[in-house]
Amino acid sequence: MELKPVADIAHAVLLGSFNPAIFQPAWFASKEILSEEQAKAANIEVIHPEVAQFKTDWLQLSVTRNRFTAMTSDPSCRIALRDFVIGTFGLLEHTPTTHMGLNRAMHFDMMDAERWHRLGHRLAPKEPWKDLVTNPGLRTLLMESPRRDGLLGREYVRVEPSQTHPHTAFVEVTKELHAVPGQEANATPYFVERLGADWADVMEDAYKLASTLVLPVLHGDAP
Amino acid sequence: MTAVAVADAQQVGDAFVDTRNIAVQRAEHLALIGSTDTASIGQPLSPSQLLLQVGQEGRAIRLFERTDRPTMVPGQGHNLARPEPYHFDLLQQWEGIVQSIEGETFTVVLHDLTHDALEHEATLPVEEVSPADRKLLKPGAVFYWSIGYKRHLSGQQERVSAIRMRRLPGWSRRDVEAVERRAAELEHLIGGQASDSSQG
Repeated sequence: MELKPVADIAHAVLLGSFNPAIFQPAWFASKEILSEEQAKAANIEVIHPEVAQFKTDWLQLSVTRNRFTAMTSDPSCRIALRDFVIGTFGLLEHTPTTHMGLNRAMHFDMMDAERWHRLGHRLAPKEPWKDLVTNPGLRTLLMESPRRDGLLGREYVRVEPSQTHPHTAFVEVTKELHAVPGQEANATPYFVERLGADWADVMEDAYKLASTLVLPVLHGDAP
Repeated sequence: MTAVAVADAQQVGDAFVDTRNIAVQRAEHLALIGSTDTASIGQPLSPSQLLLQVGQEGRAIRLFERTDRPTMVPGQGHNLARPEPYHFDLLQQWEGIVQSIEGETFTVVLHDLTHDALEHEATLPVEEVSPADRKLLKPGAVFYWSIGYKRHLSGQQERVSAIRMRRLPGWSRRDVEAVERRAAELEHLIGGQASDSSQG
């Protein structure tokens, strides 16, 4: 059985030092990163020296002085999101950045309350808690590990009850990449290169990881 | 620092706690609530979560972040996001390279991104490309062709075929330098081979 998320959000994050005021739809259109039509139709929420935030039909952008986040909830636009960030920081290659995060957040329908609870029990057994609190329930679980590919950074997996869909599990996988020590001045071109090389694998790996957690419970194979 | 207060609630659940009502409360608070000291908040916001400081009149006046640690540790933001009015269920996606354009059609080489299948050629009508993207339609251009179902929250669904041209701006100085380095390497290699063959 193929596991299909009921909502599937991809986002790329860069930490560093940004000038939010330049991140306007018109700027992206002038550089042909967005089409003129998309830029004109963009819903601008705020453009300010401290923050820029707008939405197009497929993209949501939020930039503050120390964080750039581009996101899409349309799986057909995940590659466009990658290109959007590559295009942006290919041009802004001297922007000082320190970390990049590539993330996929998925909501999986667990079909019924029983399986929904079973996933929580499987990931966070209640036995150690039963005499400490009344009727314990998993609210959030965050697992952290070094990157499996040996690059400098961390991986995070967050599992929670979905806060937008009933009897649904939320699984978010984050792959964080750090600038190479001694090469901080070239961090942005490094992140752009890694984004181009890794994006598809990160998205695929996130799905496989989430499936491995969720599918056995949906199939009834897991206790 | 002042920031939005996020209402929390104790809920009793089983393995998973149903927090959807809290999510709605949070979303409403993010939009509406006045500023409050974060120290009074039951559950700390993640370092990466955007905090909206709202003025006395309820008008957003500043948006900023907590920057306790330079980290990507995911917060709850994406779980709290309101669902889009539709979900796109992607069935198949190809990466295509335009080979030629003949009037109302264009010939392409397609690489299946969904099933990792072999490349194949196809001819597509130009009208499949949105008017905004047509000026990018030229030999060598890269595009992505997606087929899937757009499933609306109302329960309706429609089959969608969409072509999106790849948009990458001009090459950066670094790109040009990399190509020049590679060209120099190739020139050296070819020159070396020519020199070797002339000796034989």
